Amino acid sequence: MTSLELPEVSSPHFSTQATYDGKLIRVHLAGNADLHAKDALESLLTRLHAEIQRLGASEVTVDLHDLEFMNSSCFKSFVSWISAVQDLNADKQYRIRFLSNPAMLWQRRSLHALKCFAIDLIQIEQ
Amino acid sequence: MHPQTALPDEFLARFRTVALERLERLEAGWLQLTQSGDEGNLAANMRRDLHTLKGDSRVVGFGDVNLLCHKLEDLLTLAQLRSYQVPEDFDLVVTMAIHFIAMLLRKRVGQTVGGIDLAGFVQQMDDVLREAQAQKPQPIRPPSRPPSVLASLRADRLSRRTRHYLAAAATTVWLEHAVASGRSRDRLRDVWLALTETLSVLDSEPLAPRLARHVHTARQLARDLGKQIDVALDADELTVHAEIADALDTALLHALRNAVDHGIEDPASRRAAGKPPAGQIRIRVRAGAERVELAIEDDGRGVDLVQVRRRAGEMRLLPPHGGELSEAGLLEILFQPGFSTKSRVSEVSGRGIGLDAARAALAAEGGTIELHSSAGRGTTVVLRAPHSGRHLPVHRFDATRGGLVLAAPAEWSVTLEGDSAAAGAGAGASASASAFDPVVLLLAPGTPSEAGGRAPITLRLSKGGRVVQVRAGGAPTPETAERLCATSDDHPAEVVSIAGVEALLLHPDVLPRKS
Repeated sequence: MTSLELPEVSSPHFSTQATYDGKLIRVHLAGNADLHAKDALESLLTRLHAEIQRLGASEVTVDLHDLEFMNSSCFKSFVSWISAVQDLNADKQYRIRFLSNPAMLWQRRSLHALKCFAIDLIQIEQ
Repeated sequence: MHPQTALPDEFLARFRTVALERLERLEAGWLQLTQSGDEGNLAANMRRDLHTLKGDSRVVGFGDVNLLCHKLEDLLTLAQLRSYQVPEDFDLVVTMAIHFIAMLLRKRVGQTVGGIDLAGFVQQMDDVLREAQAQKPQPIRPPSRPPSVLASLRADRLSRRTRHYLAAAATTVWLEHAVASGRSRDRLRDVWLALTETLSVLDSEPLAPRLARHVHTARQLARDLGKQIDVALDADELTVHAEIADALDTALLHALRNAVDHGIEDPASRRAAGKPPAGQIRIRVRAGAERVELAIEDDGRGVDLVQVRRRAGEMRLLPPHGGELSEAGLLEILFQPGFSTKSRVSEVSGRGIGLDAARAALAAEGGTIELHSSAGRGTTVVLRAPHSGRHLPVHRFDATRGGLVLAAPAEWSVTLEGDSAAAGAGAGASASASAFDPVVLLLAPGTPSEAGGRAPITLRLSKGGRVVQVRAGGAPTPETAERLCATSDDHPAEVVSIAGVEALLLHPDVLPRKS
């Protein structure tokens, strides 16, 4: 099995963890994605995009269940990521499944708005 | 809506480039607003950017962009009401809306917009707006950085006398800096800049509170008169020089009072004329590059020119030989002091001190007032005033030393004294013994003046029988000066800017007269 080459972020307020079982890629975000996390998140998503293509995965799950807050700068990183997926040829595009936490009010509206950027590619689940 | 394909590619490319630049500014501005609040004209500039993008997108047929801009305007308006203390999802949706628009703009070039859920996104914007409207405003958080001293000064309007004292001090510092050298010169310049910035803030005032007050007063007046009005305020947010704010305030007061008292009919008369019972008054405020314009439009009965002609005849204001006045001429009579079409004086009007007072207030600050009227359809009063009220025509000339530029108000006539006319043309000449060197005089009164590298000439400034002689390093040229920190009339000078160059404007009235 080819392994996922994705560095983990581990800071007091924001952390990421990625797994790959040979079929599914899953990225778990936790803490506060604020201005301090912006560079790390941007770097993570850029690398994730490259890894998904390298591994030929058709779907990635982003688990936001433990992500307490994301500011607009970090959200922009997701918008850029989604744009990058849209810019791929149709046969290279992959789906993004967000696992949301209904207890986090900020996720409810903003994830649905995010889905509107690429309704064919994004799925929101609880 | 124009079909997009009908527009040249280069036109669309230009639109796209400019639109993306606007979005960049909007995003940066939104971030600043939510972090630091509104400072300066940031919010107003953003609204202009967004409104222009909205209009442009309609012209080029980007209906989806136009729709999102419109929704974004709604969100920004509410955010402003909440002092930009908005919920997190509100903040996120605004940011995403800006990116959504950018995505629509980018994808337009030969690409499908499939997969983009515009309706869904608009729904999210509507929902977040509705929820935010339903919520009570959050308590204002303390700003992330302490408010500047200047910001707190804005609330206090210093007396003109105090401002003049500060301006005189600033002028002295500028003069010291102008003749200093090395680090002292830099330090003095820093002090000068700090002082002028303070003065600029002290001299400025936002228009919005005044407009709101007038709208309230107009509604109250209408109620008192048994009339109904709807007042719409369509205003750019702007700050103007305090004296300009005063002038516009005076003019707006009279224009609105006239609209309610003379223009808008009572509900029964309006119904009879086929109009809705409530009169419509629209106040539109626009900031141009150099001037601010206020238009007050009403849909009332318009000016009764027959009545104006009759009253003008009674007041002997018509041409003496019975000549006919044009419509414009009759409207101009409304600006005559003491003129009123009302034969009885009421609490509201009839004394004939309305439009002439408005015109006088504006004229004192370099502004104008226009009146347009259409019988049965309404009246529009347009007030225009410079932003700063600080421009004035001058004679510009070089000082004899220090590379300084001097100026004198253009209301003073200036001639080259005696042989110095030849000096102005390049020949050498000695200065008149009775002339003074302004720089020497202002820095060290009583010090004998010294010519610099160039042979001085003497300028003779005269106005109304008063004559002042000034030594100068060159012949005068007509220019327009911007007053940077106006001193009082009894101060000998102030600093101005002429074509971007700082200069010392002399006040000849208080300079030594020709002996």
